[in-house]
Amino acid sequence: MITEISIMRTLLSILGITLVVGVNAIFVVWFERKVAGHMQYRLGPTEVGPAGLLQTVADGLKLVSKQIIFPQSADKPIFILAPIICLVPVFIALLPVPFSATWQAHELDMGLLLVIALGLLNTLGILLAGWGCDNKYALLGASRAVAQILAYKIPLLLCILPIILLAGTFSLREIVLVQEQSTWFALYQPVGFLIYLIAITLETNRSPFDFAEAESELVAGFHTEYSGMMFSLFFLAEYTYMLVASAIASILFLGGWLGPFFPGPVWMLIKIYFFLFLMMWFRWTFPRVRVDQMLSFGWKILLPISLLNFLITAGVMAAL
Amino acid sequence: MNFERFALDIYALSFTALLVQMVVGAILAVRSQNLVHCFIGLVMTLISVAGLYYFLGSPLLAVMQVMIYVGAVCVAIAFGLSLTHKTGEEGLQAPGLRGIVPPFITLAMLGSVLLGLSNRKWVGYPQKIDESPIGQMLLGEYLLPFEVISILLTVAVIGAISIALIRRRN
Amino acid sequence: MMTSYAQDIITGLSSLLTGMKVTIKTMFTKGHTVQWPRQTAQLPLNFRGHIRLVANDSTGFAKCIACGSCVRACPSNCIEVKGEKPEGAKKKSPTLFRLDFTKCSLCGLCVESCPVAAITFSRDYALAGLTSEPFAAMNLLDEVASPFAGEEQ
Repeated sequence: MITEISIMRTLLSILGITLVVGVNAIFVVWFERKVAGHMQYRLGPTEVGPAGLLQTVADGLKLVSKQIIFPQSADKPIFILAPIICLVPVFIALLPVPFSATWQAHELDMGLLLVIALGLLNTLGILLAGWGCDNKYALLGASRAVAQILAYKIPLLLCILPIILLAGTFSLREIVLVQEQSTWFALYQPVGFLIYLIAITLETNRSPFDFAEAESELVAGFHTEYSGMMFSLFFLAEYTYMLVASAIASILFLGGWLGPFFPGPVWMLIKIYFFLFLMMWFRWTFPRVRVDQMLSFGWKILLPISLLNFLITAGVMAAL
Repeated sequence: MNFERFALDIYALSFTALLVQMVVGAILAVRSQNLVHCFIGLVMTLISVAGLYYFLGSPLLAVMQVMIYVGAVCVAIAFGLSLTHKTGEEGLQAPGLRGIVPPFITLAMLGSVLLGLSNRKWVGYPQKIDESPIGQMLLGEYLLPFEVISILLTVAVIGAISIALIRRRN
Repeated sequence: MMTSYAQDIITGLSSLLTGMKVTIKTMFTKGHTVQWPRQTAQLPLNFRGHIRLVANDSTGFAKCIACGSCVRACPSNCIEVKGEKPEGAKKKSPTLFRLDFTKCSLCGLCVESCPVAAITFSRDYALAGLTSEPFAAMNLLDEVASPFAGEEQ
């Protein structure tokens, strides 16, 4: 039935997701710069607002007011389309993510599949960005992103599969409800958890696997030619994608909104920002590996171990 | 305010938009002189087909379409494209006499599909269907074809690797 | 082969953890940033600013005897000295002591060569200007008249 309530709900979820994306980007960029600073004996932003909290807002205003430059030989429609293709899927991917038993924009019985499928579109956006601007560094970055997706996506799916076997559902909400009955899946799947952590670092193009961007090798990789608002769309997409990946990680392995004392959304946010902090910790600790090292790591280590992990889980479950 | 009416309007509007996007994408994929534009047309078409699946009551197929066709197949094509020397700058050759054949095949396929659908019952708008039989059929009734296709893919991968290895040795 | 494969993974993981331990420890130590201009860092004792003239404690005049050994010692020719004997004095006193700081490389040969230790390094690090003119001809005699002003006009 379509009523005032369902339409209000839809509008509220759109508003909520937009708010989450915006506030998250503002907060996470500030947080990342703070973490990076303190890990290098610096302070990070301190000037704009209390403890530099408004630094990202100032940066955003600067980016919005900057000119968008189109390279002369760029393929204009592709050039414009690429950041949009990067950003839109992550908005949709937030739809099925439950922040508590009731705080969810849209319950889908295949929410997990939807998020995985939309994650693939992000690479498409990077690829188009690399192609569209007719720049060799951008193209190199884009083709690296594609080589990367082939290396991590299979281990990623293979370490999600045991979770699906354990939970017996693709719905993100029900996966958490199953964990309410038993315990966090990270305890059943420590190896899968570890591989998932590595795979989401690869998936979100974060250091030590930031080949598509690789600022010391490829200028700025796929967004070399982007400026102003279009560049910030890529930035927004990257940080929102980190949020989605962290949310999925906390739902699959750490029991989503479950936890004592605090209400659900608080626990969910704590877990999400724990994963985000972990990814920042990786970034500011490990140097970037070489592309061939990443590929052989993906194919020779991640893939066999995740496959073994899946087979053992399936075998144990069949035996019990 | 009549919300049912309103929702149906939005439904029809987005369905039409998807159809338009699909046809535009298909034309772009076939007619464009630039290989990258062809690729984008293909992606557009595949995504709109996924949208149609969603509208026709099978979100599972829609998600799978995005995952397999857009995510895997298109990315593989794109990987190939980014390794090619020139991405169609000199333009593609017109097909000539051979160009007559595809329309006939297309028409024949369209005819057979329409013929197959002709004695079905039409419904107003689709209900969400239960998709679990798909999995059960794939691993039950159609297990053999399913496995044969997997073996075919494995053979193809091994073949590709061996071709690459032979070329590297020479 | 299997054992070395597993061993590689384990040593790799443990080395990653070691690295992460270092960064997390660093994160909770105090930063080394000095927030200038609100805070100022302590200058090291042998800090070399531009040179300045040392004043005589009792008279307040420059110790300099305008002998010109700093001019001869300077490898970049950035010092210019002229001197005269004031009435009744035994030694010369500088009437002009000009430094071209745009050429000076702060090597300190003038400080070392001075026979009466009349030249020393200032501790003025916050030098900035919109043009190079004030630095191309710094009149060091001004500073001797008011030895603790310290700042170039």
